[in-house]
Amino acid sequence: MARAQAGRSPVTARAATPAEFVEQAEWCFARAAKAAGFDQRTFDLGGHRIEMQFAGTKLLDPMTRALAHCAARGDGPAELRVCFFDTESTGTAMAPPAWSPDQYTGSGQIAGFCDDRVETSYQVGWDVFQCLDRQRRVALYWTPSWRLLPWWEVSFPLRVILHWWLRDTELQPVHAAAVGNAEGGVLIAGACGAGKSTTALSCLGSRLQYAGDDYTLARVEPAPYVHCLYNTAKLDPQGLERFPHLAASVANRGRLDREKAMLFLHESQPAALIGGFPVRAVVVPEVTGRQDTAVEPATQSLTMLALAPTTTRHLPAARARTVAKLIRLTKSAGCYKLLAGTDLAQIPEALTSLVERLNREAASG
Amino acid sequence: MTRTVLRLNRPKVICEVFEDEVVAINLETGTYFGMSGSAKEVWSLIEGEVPVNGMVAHLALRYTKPPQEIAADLELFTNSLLAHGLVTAEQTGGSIPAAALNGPVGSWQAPKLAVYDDMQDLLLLDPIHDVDEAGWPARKPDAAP
Repeated sequence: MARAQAGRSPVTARAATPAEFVEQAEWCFARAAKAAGFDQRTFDLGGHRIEMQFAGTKLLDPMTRALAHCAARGDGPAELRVCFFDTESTGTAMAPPAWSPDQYTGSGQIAGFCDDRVETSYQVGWDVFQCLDRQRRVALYWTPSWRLLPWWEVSFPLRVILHWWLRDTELQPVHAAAVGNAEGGVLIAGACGAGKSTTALSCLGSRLQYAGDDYTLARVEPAPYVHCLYNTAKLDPQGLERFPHLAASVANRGRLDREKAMLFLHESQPAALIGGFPVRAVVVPEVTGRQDTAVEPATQSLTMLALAPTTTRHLPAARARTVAKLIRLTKSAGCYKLLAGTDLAQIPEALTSLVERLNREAASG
Repeated sequence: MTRTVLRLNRPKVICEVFEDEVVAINLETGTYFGMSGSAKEVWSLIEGEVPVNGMVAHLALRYTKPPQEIAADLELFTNSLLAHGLVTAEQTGGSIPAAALNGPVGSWQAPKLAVYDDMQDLLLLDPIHDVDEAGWPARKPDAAP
């Protein structure tokens, strides 16, 4: 059952405060759930139990498929409830915005309408509104129509809300791929197009397992660790040509003219996934155009500049805290460059060799 | 007697010294800056509040490069720091700090400031003009995925 009851409407006037707006939005969600039906799923994300509640059915699969490998086991209270609804499929409007159009920013943050308790974001052009009330432990995700949901949202649901919710913890969603084994592994950092997906997917079938190709959940203290947050893999058309054996597993084959190919490895290759591992190093791929692949030490600053700008660019708010976590992560993990060659078979060999050496060194203290 | 020192433009800017370079971040714009060459040594002088006109003397003790060449590189670098708002020039009193640099004589490399400003696309270039009846941004027909 939706905990917010669709009783007397609090939406009698534009909200005066961010917290008041969240209450209004939650009431709209409850009303949508009453009209279109209610469902929920619970996930364990980096040790944090999150309950996702849905009004209607249209957002349930898109928002949970990438998280399916993290489905919570057993009962227990969730620490955060996230309510999803869209207006078109539920016939329920969202509360009117309590801010002016000039408060929208490129990062998504609604300037002047968030505070230490409440975060708000609206991605102009994507038409996705999200908010979080830390005190009441509730978040909302709304879009006017499920049909307009950007395809990439399906590959990293909850990314922004988790970033907000984990602000004061040692966890941080990071824009990095990750491969490794139970003893340890590496984060693969770089901006979009730097080779994260190619590097991570080239390791499928090797001795290294997969923990993500785009966003992963890193823990900074007491020692660096990465959780597999999303079981997705995304490939542009050229990338898909490099991995023809993955074509049969592409989930959105009919839309590749406008979307990256998306795979849900929890469904197609569950054994390739790993829940998480200690981070031994951050690796920055560099596509060389040469045939052979090599690994060499990198500087901490190069690594930081591969990891941080792209992460803080995507995630609104808490920039200083995010940067502080990424600095600690960079300084406590090893830093390497992967000089990636065109012979893809050499990439997992080079990374496996690096990971196994770093794991041996870690084990020997 | 007053002297001019450079100070990190807090809280707008944060800065971290890594083993090889200095990285600064403008938290308001999301722009990152990497400082290479001998920038780390210059930065330690800035943090030590060594006056701008006294930095060359400190650096000349550490590097074999002629002081006038160090001065020219330093001027370019500190002007760049000021232009990007990473530091502010402030007048201060008190005694001049002792030399802040330690270590053997090294090879001077002109300090460089690299700007990682691909964050600029975060600026909302197209202000919202059209909203629906409730006040939410009206989606442009061609914006649909």
